[in-house]
Amino acid sequence: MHIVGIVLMLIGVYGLITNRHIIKMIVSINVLEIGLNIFIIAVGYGENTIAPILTKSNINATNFADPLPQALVLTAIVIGVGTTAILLAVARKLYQQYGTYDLTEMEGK
Amino acid sequence: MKKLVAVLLVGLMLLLLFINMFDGSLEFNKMDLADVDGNYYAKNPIVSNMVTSVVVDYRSFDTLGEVTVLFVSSLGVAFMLGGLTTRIKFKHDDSFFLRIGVKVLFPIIVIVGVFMFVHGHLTPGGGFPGGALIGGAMLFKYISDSKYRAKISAFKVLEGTMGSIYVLLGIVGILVGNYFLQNILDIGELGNLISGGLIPIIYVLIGLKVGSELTGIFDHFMNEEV
Amino acid sequence: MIRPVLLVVLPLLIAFLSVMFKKQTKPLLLIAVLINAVVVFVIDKGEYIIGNHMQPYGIVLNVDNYSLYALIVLNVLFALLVLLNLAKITKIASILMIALGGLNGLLMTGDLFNLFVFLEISAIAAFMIVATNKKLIHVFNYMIIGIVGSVMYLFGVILLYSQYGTLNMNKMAELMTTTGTPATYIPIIMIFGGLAVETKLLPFNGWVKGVLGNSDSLVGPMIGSIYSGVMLIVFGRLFTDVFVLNDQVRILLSVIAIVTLIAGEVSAFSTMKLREILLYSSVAQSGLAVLLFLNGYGSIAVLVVFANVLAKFILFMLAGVMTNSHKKSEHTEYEHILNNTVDNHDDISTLAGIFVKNPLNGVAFSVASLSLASLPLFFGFFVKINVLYSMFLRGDYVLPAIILATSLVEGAYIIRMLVVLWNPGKEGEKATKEAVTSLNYEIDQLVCMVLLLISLSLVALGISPDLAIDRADEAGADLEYNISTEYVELEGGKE
Repeated sequence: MHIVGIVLMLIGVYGLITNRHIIKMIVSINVLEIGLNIFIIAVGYGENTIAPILTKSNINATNFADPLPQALVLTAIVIGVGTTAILLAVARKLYQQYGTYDLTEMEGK
Repeated sequence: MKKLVAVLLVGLMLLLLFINMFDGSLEFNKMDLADVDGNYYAKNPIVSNMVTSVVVDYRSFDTLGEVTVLFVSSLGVAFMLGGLTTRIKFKHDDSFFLRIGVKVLFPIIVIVGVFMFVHGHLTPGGGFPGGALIGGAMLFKYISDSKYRAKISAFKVLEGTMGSIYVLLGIVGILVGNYFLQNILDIGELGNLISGGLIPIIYVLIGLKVGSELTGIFDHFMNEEV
Repeated sequence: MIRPVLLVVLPLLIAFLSVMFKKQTKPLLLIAVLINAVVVFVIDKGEYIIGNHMQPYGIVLNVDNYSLYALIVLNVLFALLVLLNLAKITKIASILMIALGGLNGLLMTGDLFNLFVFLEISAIAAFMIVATNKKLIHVFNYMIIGIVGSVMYLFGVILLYSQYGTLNMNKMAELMTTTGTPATYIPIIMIFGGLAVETKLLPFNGWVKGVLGNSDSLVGPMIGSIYSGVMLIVFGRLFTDVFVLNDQVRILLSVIAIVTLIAGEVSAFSTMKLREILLYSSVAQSGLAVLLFLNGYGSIAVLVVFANVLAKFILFMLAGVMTNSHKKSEHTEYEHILNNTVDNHDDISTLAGIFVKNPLNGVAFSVASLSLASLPLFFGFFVKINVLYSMFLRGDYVLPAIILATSLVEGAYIIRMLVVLWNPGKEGEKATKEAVTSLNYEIDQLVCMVLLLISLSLVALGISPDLAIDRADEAGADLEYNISTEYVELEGGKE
């Protein structure tokens, strides 16, 4: 699972470097953040661990997965939503101002 | 040309990461799960859902920061798109199925969302996904009807009040128990709905706050200039 | 007596309440800012636990000398900036309150993930503050680079968690010193990269030219002086108190800082636009401070940051006002505000001689820039002498050579800028009253007086720097990797 996270992050970085269309850049940033979140959760998982919720059937178990990375991911997802919201607002205003979504065309004007 | 350079750069990073952090059989080498800090949280849960007890009790300050991030994002969207006042008209007519479907689905989605944040300390989920579901239900209403506008002022008052109550609960913790954001109510029995002290209350506050904030953001995006 | 968490929480509470009282956001902002500026002088020192859970399982706030002096400077300067810009803050008053809470939290926190959360709060508030100047493309570039930087920081923190099992700064420092540096240097480089975005180091400072090059008198001092100072202090805390670097990593990161320093000074020398000179000088000063932190000169680095913050506050505020000048014959005062026709005069040759018309502002500007150029009698001279003295004492000869060379370049462009701004007319001609530029600007009397007072404090500190030196010494003593503590006094060189 660690490899999946890192591969997603690198796909996001590649998309960010090669694209000049604003919406595609925002999508690449989202892929980057998703990859990071998957990597964080994978750090908290060991061999044969179960979900960290106490129920009647597993009240005496000892092999729970690490709950701390999962809490960090909850926060990181919400922060990602916040930054995507303002990025999209700025993208909308840029389209209003320049009439195009392409960065190279905007820098030319 | 640029794509080639990008591919090479990314491949280089991948290679560096693999050489340094992974051992021979492509397993990530990390500490044993029994020695990590998170193990303490697993051994001393306050409510049944261990992740909830970490997010709302042990690391409550981080959750306050996260609520603030969402708040400042909604303020930022209001600042950028604040001048737009009339509802966007879609290029297609309203769909009949969508309109009727919303009447059935909207209450169901809202109930699922409310269930999620009220039971956040017993089942997976909690305030943030529950609030997002409520925001999603409102977005559903916006999409199905091209003349619909929610009462944004009521949602803004809800958002501000919930946030202030969260911070005030923390300050009450200083006055009553000597530490900020201390859990001052009775913990109760593990597994009951009314247990965990302040934790279900905070999750209800967060769920309502996130729902109203997302509704406000969607409303700003659904407007355009005259 | 007063708990330090209130410095973070009170602005947040007032911000949450301000959504319901939309008409009164400006008075609420003033109340919040003034309360913070007063309360910061009476908070307790020490470690403050949040939520009654012991370290490292709960979050602690760390208020020692190092954080306390940074907090005092931050809150007082933030209050001054808000008071001097009363007309411009109406639309973003709530966002400014949250920025204040976020910056205070950044300085005090003792937990790595909490640092990430406050970094994001401050960054998003900064994006919105920069967006007030309507050049949205630069805002977009700043946002993209800022978000990628935070992702890098979080990646580094998680890699460290997987190697050491903790997120608490004190416990991480202990584990790093006893079990040695991590087998891989990648987490440290990731965290360095993440912080390098905000501290303007070379690979990641593409945003500086766009954002600060188009700044007015609110954005300029905020991003160029306040945010810059806070990020450098956070950098110093992380890289000298928490992490233990091995020698190759230290040399690699120092090389990046040296390249930033040289590139900044050279770029400042080659441009003739007022705000660009200032922003490249900021980049160079950041490189210098990072270099000093990495090599064990913690107390001196604190002095460099302090001198830079004060000087850039004055310079960016005046630059923001001056570049919005207009010709006196063409517009009356109210007309240009009504029509929103503000010309952007950035090139210093078009502003030639403008200080002849505004001598008080000229004095403030000159004092600040001469302090930046480290001329004697000003505070900057003192800081520079101590930098060189500590380095010579340790037997280091390469670094002082580089710093001396760049100081020469710095002095050259600053003197050239001042000469053009004070003397009307072209080179070789006699300076006559007719050659003075016909541009002029309006500035509030209060702003004038406050800036003059701050610049006089730079002169006062230059004459008797004991106040600053003792504080920096106490601050540096809290850092682990801080080797130098001798200082030069002005009279006779006693230690």
